[in-house]
Amino acid sequence: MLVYVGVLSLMFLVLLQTVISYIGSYKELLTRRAIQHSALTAMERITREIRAAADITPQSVLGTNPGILSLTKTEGGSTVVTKFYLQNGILVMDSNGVPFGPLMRSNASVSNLVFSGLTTGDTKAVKIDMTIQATVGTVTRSKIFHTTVVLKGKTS
Amino acid sequence: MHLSRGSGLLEIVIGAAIIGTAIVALLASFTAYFRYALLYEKNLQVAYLIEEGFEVMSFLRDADWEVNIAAHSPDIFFLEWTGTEWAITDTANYIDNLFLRSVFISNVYRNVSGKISESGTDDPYTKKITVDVSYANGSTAVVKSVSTYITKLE
Repeated sequence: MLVYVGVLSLMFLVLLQTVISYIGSYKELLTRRAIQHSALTAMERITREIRAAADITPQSVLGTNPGILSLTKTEGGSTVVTKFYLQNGILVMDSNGVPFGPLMRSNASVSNLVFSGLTTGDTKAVKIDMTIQATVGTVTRSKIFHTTVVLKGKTS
Repeated sequence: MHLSRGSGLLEIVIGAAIIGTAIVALLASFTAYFRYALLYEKNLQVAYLIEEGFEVMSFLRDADWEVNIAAHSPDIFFLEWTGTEWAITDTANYIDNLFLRSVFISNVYRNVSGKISESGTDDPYTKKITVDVSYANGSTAVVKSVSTYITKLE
């Protein structure tokens, strides 16, 4: 009986330790998942809008953090201004002044956002450097995402 | 009485084996899931770095085909962000001390039908661009490679 209780107690301790370890790892996974989902949503939307844009407007704040990116494109014969900026650390987008909403999860934020404009002849491009941070419980992680996109939209 | 004690011991052994197997299986599956989750994160970063490689080459093509594309074919080089512009360099530079991106430009040949082939006539206005991004994953190196063609603008 004593051996029986001893073995079961040992197994219970191992199980408890495993469950505690799992909870810690699960929080780590949730944190990383929040970063991945936010990065995918934000980067895909920004790159798609840059590719469709014809020009970068002077309202943009380039080369510094926190950056603002304001783009123009022609849609259905009328000009559309799309703007990306941070609002309390959350990346948001608006179209012709109408808010589109946040481009990331509620537990994620942007700790660094720099847009850099490049021009050569008629070709323009935007470089994006974005650090996304997420917190779940006591676990905080951040990842840096970089890309550059050439503007391919037409002015009319 | 002896039979009863023996049965109890057998129960412990079988019970321990079942619980032990379940724990090991759970640990193994969770570890695999965790490993793939971490890999996905890096692959996402790599995807944007590869995309950036092509976009930068497209931008440099528009800037000067002869200097930025034709003069480097065939050649392997790296892209360097100076803070204000993109430049081609022979010096390897790690992005965020983690990712190494290289670009390989090679000549493109066309057969008598004008189609791209392994051999034939060199097409000076078309080049093949291959962007490689590598990073260390534990003790192994992971390399992601994507190729496309780029043509000179009129």
